[in-house]
Amino acid sequence: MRTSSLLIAAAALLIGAPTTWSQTASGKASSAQVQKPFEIGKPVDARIALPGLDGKTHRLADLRGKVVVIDFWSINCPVSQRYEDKLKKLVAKYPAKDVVFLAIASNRTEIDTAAEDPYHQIRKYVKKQGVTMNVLVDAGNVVADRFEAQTTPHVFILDQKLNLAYEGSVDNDQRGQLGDEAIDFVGDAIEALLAGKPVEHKKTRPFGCSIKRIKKTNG
Amino acid sequence: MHPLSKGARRGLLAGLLIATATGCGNQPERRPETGPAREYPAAIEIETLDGEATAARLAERPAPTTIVNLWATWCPPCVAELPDFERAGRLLAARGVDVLTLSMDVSLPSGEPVDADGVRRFLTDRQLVLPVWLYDGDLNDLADRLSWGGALPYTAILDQSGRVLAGHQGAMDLDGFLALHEEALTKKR
Repeated sequence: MRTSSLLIAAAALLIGAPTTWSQTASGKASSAQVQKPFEIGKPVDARIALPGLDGKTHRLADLRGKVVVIDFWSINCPVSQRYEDKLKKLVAKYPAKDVVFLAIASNRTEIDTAAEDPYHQIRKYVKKQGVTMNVLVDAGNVVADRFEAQTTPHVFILDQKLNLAYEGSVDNDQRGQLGDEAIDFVGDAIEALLAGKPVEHKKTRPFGCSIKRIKKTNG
Repeated sequence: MHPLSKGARRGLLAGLLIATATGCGNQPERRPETGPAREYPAAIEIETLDGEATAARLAERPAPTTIVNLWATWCPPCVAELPDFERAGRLLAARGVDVLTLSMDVSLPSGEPVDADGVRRFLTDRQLVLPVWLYDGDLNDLADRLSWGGALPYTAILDQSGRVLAGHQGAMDLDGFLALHEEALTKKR
């Protein structure tokens, strides 16, 4: 499928903004290239856009008015996989007009650039697991870098005005043994935002597999 | 006074001033601080430690520097780097470095929980000899203690009091582990 490889090439361009290499560079990059990290309570870059497995381009700017749950996600990381069921339930719970779920695949190891369909592994996993989130592909981990995403899973939630409202782990029950005592960070944040209330836990630590980034030649 | 020696003196003084101005890091001759050679474990060593025991033992290390690797049996890049970590560990132990791994299989499990026997079998199957603490405590505590961002694998170099001198999130090879230790030595005073 020719279009898929074109989508990969287009992915970085669609961002419509300078690259984010400065994050790891010496800090002496020209000011035009320096991009500030997103902060809780502040808007993220609405120009961010990524191709989806559905063949469409998904732009944050088009999602204004909805709560946007972004999950940096992996088809290989067992921690990410362990949360699939929970996320599936959340997707089913809220109408798409209110809450949008974006699973972003940023691991270079999960995009097969040599294949006719570079996303064939991701498609296979999505089908097998019955993933109901919108799956977007972040070739070159450009968007993972913009969000400074560290792990899979690493969740970022945007409010209806695209302000960053939450970042961190899905819940605090990494061992799966807290039961009713567990704090459902993502579910609670969605509920608060839909009710127009402040999010209680705004930032928690993500845990999981490191995102396998591309090697950058210049810092 | 001989003019040459005066000039040489001035040069020395200037050098001292530069050294002072740039802090005490300007000592290229300084030998890396390591201790007497340590014995690398002859066989797999596994202990299960809760958060409190881990904290206590991380705060009092038996060597000037400790290299610690965080991994899990379910983490492929962690497993892929373990042979190189073992190689680096053997080289560093000879230079007096304490070598340690912390398995996250209990505190960050995936699917079927893996216990001490499971980790032992896992390492035996791969012919890996490593000292392992099976971490059975709070992940946030450990993350704070080790300046760990939460992603596996993670490697840190600690000083004798458990302070993190250098850390790296993501997989490394032999050279990477050795370089990380060198980086830590430059920070250690």
